[in-house]
Amino acid sequence: MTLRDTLRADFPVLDREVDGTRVTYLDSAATSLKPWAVIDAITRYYREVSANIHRGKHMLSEEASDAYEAARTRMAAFLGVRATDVVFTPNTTHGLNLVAAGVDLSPDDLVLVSRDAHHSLQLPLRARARVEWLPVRDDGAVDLDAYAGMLAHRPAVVAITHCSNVTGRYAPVAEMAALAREHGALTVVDAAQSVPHRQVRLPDLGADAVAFSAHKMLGPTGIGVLAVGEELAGRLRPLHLGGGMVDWVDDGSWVLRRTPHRFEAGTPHIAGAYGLRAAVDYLDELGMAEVADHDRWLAELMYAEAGKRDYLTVLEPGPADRSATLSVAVRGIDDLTELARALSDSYGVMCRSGHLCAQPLVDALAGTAVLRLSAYVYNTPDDVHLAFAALDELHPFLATG
Amino acid sequence: MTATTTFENSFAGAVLELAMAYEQVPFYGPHLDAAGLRPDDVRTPADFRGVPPTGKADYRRHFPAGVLTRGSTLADDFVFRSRSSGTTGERLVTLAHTFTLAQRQMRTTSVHQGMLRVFAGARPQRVCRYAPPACSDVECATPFTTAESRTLEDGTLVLPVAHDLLATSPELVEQAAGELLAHDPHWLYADPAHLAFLLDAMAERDLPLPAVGGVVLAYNLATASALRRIRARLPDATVVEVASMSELGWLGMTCPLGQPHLNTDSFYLELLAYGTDRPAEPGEPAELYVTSIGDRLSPHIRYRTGDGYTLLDGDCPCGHRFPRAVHHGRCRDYVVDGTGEVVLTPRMLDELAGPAGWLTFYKLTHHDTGPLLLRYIPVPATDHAEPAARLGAAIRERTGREVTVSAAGHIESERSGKLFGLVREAR
Repeated sequence: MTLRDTLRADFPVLDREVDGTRVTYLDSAATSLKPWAVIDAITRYYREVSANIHRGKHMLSEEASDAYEAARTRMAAFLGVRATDVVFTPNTTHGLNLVAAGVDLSPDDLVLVSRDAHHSLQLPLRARARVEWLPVRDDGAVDLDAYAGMLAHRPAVVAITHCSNVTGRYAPVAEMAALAREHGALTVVDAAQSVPHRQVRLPDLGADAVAFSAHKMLGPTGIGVLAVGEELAGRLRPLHLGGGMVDWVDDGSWVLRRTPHRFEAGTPHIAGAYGLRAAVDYLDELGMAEVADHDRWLAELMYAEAGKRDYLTVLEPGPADRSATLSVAVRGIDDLTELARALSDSYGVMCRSGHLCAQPLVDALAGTAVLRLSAYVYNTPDDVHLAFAALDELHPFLATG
Repeated sequence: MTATTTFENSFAGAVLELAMAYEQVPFYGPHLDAAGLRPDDVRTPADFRGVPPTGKADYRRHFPAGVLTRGSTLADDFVFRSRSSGTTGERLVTLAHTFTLAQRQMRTTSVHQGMLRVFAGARPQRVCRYAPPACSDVECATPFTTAESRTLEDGTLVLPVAHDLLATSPELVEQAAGELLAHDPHWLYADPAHLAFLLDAMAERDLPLPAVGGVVLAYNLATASALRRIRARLPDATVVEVASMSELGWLGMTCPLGQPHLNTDSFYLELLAYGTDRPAEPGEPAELYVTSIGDRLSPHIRYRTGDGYTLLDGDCPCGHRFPRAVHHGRCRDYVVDGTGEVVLTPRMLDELAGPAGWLTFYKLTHHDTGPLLLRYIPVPATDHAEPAARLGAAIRERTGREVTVSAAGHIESERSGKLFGLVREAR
């Protein structure tokens, strides 16, 4: 065990039973569970403050404003950037759309996109520009030589999945971003699956924009982060206009506030900021190095267990720098809905089935929907063993042929 | 022969089912052992009531290994599976042999020769279903599906409809109507509220109405208002109400005289007085417990349905031997007074409302305390305020509770997609 043994008690959902069976939660790539510290922080806002920010002069408003901005500062420290670089968004998807829409791409612009991109990364760009997939080797890793060759075609943007939500594989973002910068391309990174699982210092990545969500890192749903450097922020057009993002409005014009406020139109998710700060505090208390060790340890176990079973086909098996996310096709079961339901209802194992919002990749690798197990800080080897034992029991009943 | 005796005619089958389940179905061994029972201990109906009831959670938690007879798999021939959220909104995967379901259907339909003739004369694959999306195994709640994608293995075409019935978009209504007419079904299998809604919408659009030979109304208690409209729109069709559950198939049907009969050949049925474990007297509110007979795939023993019935005494003038029992809706929705007595059930409420030419749909919601809230959707250009007030007064007299009555433009379906007339809401 790389994390403290008492950690599971911090997550009330793990006390739940489904028809008498303890919940085994292995769907953290979809969203993580929330510890009491986060739940308490959110309810504290509603219970004790509940005021809007940046608008009033009364004490409660000032207290909320201070806490909201303190959350921004805390997040900036976590990422190693300035607070002005941290834009609060509703989620990763919103942040990626803000960049795709805000850089004013034209249909003739070339954009290079990771082959394992989530729909949220690829679709906003595919809707606006000419997209080509980043080249990969047979083992699924990015082919850096071929990538360097593609950069000669002068792409406007390179869009990179830091960690795949399908295979758990990490991409060498720092190396890729440096190459992109040499060729004048912006780099935008989907870090939804990486920031929760290891220390990600943005200056080390060298990307122009990095997006992720609080809810995958123990925080609440409805708030995320777009970390955007000063250079890109200056040319990025806000996606929404409205209150809170302007300094001056008269009959003829308006003046945008400085970043990050110009990207946060309307009342934000204030309670979410309270919760996000509590989540960052919680992760820092655990230690991100320990969180990363735990993640690697579970990843090795999951891939080893899957490899022992001939009825499972692992998507991109083999050694890799990866997170504890495993996707498998299951022999003899094309519709995995039944399997996922039975894992849930009969064994208490909560995991995901489908195309995982990365359909082009899943279709290319598996040709069908897949089952995904994804672990986080509260998971133990027992959880993994229980899930595979349940699969072993269910497969003979559900498989055909 | 009393009604109670009629139920007990199938008791021997239940005893055999219990013994088989104990030996062959992994869930039942520990289930009986925990109660200190063995099948040999069960010799009388009273002994049988000592077997702990089963519920959805048991079949869900032990699916599939625990609820299948040893050696069976889902991939076996003739295994029919359906995923249902059911009336309660609790999901469940149901497994049954197709031939078992067919046999239950035919035995249930034996109470209505006219409906048997409809089935016998049906062209292959000419059934249309119009029911809450959660009741079907196919996606049917969006306009982006095709008739082909909604055609079940047995050829039934599931028509599209929104989860919130009365919020179904005009486009989806027109899609359903168009497919219904194009498919030209021999008979319909429908939720009564849904079918009344669709037929009203087709009439409003001056569309021809389907020339069906029969209509099977299931999924939900048929209100007198829905029946009035269905019969008026489809005057030549044989219309029956069926008591069915996705877990078990068809349990009962109305005979040509409109009397509800329960199938005591395929099931051992227990009607226990509401909130007790004693057999109910005729006319007494009761809950139905079902034990399958002869199910060699996934038997159900003392399955607690949560559905309320009252037993009718005496023989039916139609002459069929199956006992009669009136379906009263979900027990959880009953209005109960301070002494625990049931004062209003969905059926009782509908009897108060009657065919009601002044409304199309209604819903009475209630909490443990506070006034009962009656909303109804008036039929346009009718004088609805006065009969609505009379209905409110009748409910007040029946329940002893205050009743707030209001006309509404929309009434929401439950999470299950069903539109219930009486709903108890938790605060």
